[in-house]
Amino acid sequence: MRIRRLSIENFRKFRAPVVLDGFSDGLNLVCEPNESGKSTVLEALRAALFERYNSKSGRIRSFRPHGDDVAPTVTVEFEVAGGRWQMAKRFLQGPSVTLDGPDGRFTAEAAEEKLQALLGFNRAGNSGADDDSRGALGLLWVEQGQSFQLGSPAETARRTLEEALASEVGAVTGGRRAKAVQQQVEKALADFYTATGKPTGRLKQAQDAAAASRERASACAQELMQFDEVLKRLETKRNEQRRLVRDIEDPEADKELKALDADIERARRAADALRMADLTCRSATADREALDKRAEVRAGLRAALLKAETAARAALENLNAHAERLAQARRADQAAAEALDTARMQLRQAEELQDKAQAARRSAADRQQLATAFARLDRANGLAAEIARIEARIAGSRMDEAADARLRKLEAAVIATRATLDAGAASLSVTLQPGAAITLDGAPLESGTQISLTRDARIDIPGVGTLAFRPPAGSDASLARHRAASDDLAAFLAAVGHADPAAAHAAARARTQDETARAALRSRLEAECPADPALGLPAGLDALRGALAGRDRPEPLAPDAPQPPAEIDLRPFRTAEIEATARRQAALDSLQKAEVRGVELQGASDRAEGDRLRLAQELAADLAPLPDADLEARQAAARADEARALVDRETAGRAAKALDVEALHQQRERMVKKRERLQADLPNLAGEVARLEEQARTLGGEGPGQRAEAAREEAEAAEATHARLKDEGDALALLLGVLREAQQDAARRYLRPITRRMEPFVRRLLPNASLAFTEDYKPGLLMRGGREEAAELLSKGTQEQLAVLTRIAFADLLIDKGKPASLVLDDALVFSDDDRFEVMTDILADAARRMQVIILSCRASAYRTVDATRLPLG
Amino acid sequence: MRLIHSADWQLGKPFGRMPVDARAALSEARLDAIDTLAAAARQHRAGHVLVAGDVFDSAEPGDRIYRQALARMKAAAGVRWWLLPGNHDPLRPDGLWSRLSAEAPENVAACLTPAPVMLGEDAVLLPAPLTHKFSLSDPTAWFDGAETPAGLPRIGLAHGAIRTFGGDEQTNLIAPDRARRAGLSYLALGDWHGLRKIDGHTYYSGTPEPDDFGREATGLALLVDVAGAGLEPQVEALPIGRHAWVEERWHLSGAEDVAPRIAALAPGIERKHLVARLHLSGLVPLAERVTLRRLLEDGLAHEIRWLDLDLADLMTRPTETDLSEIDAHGELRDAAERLRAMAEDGGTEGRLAGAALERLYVELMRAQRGSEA
Repeated sequence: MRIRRLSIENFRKFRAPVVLDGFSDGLNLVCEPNESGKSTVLEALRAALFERYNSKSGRIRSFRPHGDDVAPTVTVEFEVAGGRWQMAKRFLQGPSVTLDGPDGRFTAEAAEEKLQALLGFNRAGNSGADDDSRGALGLLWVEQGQSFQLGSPAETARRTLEEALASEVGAVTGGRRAKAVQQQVEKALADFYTATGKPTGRLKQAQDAAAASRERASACAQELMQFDEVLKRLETKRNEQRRLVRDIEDPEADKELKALDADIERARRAADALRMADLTCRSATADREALDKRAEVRAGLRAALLKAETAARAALENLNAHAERLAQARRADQAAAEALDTARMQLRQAEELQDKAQAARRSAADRQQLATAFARLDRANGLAAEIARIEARIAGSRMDEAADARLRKLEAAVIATRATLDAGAASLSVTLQPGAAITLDGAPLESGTQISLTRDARIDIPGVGTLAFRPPAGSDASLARHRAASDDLAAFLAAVGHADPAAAHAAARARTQDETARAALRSRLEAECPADPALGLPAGLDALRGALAGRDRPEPLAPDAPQPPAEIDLRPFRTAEIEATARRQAALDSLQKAEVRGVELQGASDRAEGDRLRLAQELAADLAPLPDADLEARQAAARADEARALVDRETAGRAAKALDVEALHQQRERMVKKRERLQADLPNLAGEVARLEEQARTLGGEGPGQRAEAAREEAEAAEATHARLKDEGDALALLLGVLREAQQDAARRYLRPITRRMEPFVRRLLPNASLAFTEDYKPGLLMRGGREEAAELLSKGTQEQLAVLTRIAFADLLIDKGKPASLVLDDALVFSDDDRFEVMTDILADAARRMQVIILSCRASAYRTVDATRLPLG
Repeated sequence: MRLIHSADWQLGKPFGRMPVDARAALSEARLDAIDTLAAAARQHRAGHVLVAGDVFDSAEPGDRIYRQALARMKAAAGVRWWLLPGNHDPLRPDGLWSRLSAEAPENVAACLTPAPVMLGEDAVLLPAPLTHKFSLSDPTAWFDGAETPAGLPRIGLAHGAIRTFGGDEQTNLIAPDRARRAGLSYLALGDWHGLRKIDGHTYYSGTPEPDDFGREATGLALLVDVAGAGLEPQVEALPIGRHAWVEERWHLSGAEDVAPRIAALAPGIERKHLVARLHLSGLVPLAERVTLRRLLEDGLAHEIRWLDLDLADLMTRPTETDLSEIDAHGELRDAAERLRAMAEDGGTEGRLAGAALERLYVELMRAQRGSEA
């Protein structure tokens, strides 16, 4: 097919008619800048051919230039199958189509149908033409932005291609049958496996059912095991219970218990017997020992008596021997006593004489002493009288030292006041005529008297009259003080009984003298009355006086009075007496010793005799009830008894030992305890048995054995079903896989014409590469360098190049088969680099030798070197 | 003295591999066998039915089975049932048998003690109950020395294999000459599910309701007339069972072999009471395999109680016709060729490929039918 002329009017931006004329057979290039309407040209061409003239679809309406109610009109002149055709199509307003060509003129639907038949496309649907309706030309006339799409051709285009490939396709594909089978298999498989190979549908159900029944079988087996366990346990428990009851009711145990009781009784009795035998034995031994003791005591008595008799005899002999010595001592003592008496008498006589002489001498001395004492008393009395006299005087005088001092003070005060008074007083000097007698205040005044007048005074001068004086007024106070002092003095004097101070002073002196004298007298008196030990007197007069009060003053000794006798020498007498006394004492000591000895001997003798007597009595007392012979007989009997008792005890001991009552008791206790324990265990065990019985009954009622068996078989069946289904699914999967492989192989085969045509193009573009198509005519895999790459993963540029090459190959195929084909590319190869672009334009130029190629492009410079028919737009 | 000897009821046997309805029917049939036995006893005026072990399929059959069994036996007036624990339902303390002996109706006796018991007034029964699934000693050993009233026939009742059976049977072994040794007039045995005569005095009755393939004479009970001590009893087999279990091996050369074989399968047996296991072998074309499968799986399997079809040995050889039926050429043919090649390699993958090829064929036929319709 070749387009020759294209006229467009009222179509989008082309309001005014635009004509593209002079399309060549080969490569045609419409190179215009953007927005100049290149794409509109292709759109108008596609609309004119593929859209129905009377369609009012949105797309058709969109053909109208904006805002104009005009009729888009396209006229196309083309050659196909050797004939030249002109087609004019007017849309919307007064829609029409006319087709003029070798077969005549066609209008309306007839024109449309003729056109479809000529160019191999389908009637467009109500909503306008689509890829499917456009057919192969739609695939080859590539709109802007569609050139790089590697999609599979639409159904009509594919069918056209298939028709072109007819012989080959027919040979290798299974056609619709194959498709239907494959779909069936896919559908069937979908009930077994998912697209990713996971079990689903029936297989999944079977798998789940198998798993579930396996689980159930295992659960049932478990249940059965549990049930078996329960039965086993029940049997064990029941056996236990049986044993227990048997043990509890064991007659042997009863018998044993009874035997034990008997043994215990016997043992108790044996123990009692042993105790008795022991007692008897001990008593026999005691009896025997008592008799032995008695015999021993009796022998001792006898020995002691023998000894006592000997001792008594010896003591008596000693006593008798001592009697002579005692008599001698008595005699010696007698002689010594007499000698002593004599010596004492002589001494007494001498002493008497001596005493008499001494008394005479003492009397004389006493008398002398007394006389001296009296003489002292006399002197003392004289002194005492003198002292009394002086003391009487002292007592009569009031002028003691203090009074004297007081007096001197008073006097001094008078003198002082006097002086004061005198200083302020009128001095009156009296000089009288002899004989003149005047009185002052009634008192006569002596001539020569010097008076100080300190008070009102009146001098009476007989015959003359009276002189009254009045001291000056200021002297009254001094006068008063003076008077007071004088009064005080006068009062003192009056008190002490002296007329004037001088007397008083004298009296004071006298008193002092008296006191001195008294002190001297007292000293003398004291000297006269010393203490006199001879008279037993203390010091002092009163003592002396007292001592002598009752005594008579001794008469003075007559000068002739005999002298007291001289002293006698008593010493010889005394010596003699002492010696005699000593001798007597010695004799007496000897006597005393002898006597003591005698008493001792007597005592010893007495005691020995006493012992002898006592022992003899004791022996007699012992013998009286039990003579020696009897004793011996009893001793023998006791020994025999004891021996017998010992033997008995030995026997009883052996018997008791043979029956250990403690052990028997323990054994019995154990048996009783055991039985109690068994009896205590019984209820629990019975309960456990009952529980297990109930459990066994309940579980058994559910039929675990049968269920387990059934579940096991069901599980096996489910497994088998699952295996069968799995086999079926696997067979289906295998079948589908094989079908697909076969299909792919077939596709490869029938696509070979296309791939073969593609090969040189691809090699030119991508050295050593080849392209494989899928069965739906889509570039599938690019093989280069032994590697396979999915075509849709290649770069956009390469994809577009491959898409363009594919279309060339398709066009070649169609042309080879005598079908209309031409290539229109709008703004293609925009992603190609310079080298690839060059290769592509070379390929396109090459293709243009076999078909008409129309390139719409905005890239004038890119195509500058390309040898093509250039058509201006407008 | 006339009695019926039965055994191996195995009530409650689950048949777990079968579909639910077949399972229920077979299970119910085992219970129904009790009624049939009762009817047979009445018909032949046999007062006693001896069941030689495995009354129940397990020692814990569940209350439903248990009650059903007791109720059905109780309903059989005039028949006295003598039940013996077998290896499937061994006597266990506090187990099934303890319950049963306490709850059983008057006409049901559980033989739980290895001791002689009067069988009515004319004979003495020597039962040998099993107390374990497996025991190494002969449970009937005590029969020899058992003292019984003089002049009364001794009848043994036991469960286990006869020592001469050989094979793997190593447990519950019963001396083959026990009847002679113990002076038994008759020894009623259980365990072997088919009828089997050991000697003139010793029989296995087999199960009254067949429960497996491969038994020659099964689904029977024995009517025994005990003549007297020392004399051989008269034994007659009575048909009791409802279902027939048939196992056959069919060697096929083509689908046309199948229909006549189906027609000839288990003659005289109602289809609904037939349980069949078919082992198919041979080498058949793909198309015929599909056809014969349809005949068996879509036809026979639904007619009978249960069909267990074993196709493991039925080899498929896709013929040229098969393949050209798939397609003369093109991708389907290609796929079929590939699968055939894989199938010929054998192994698991080969088996799978064979199945896939068969499926391909079936799908094609289906698609064709779809397009034709």
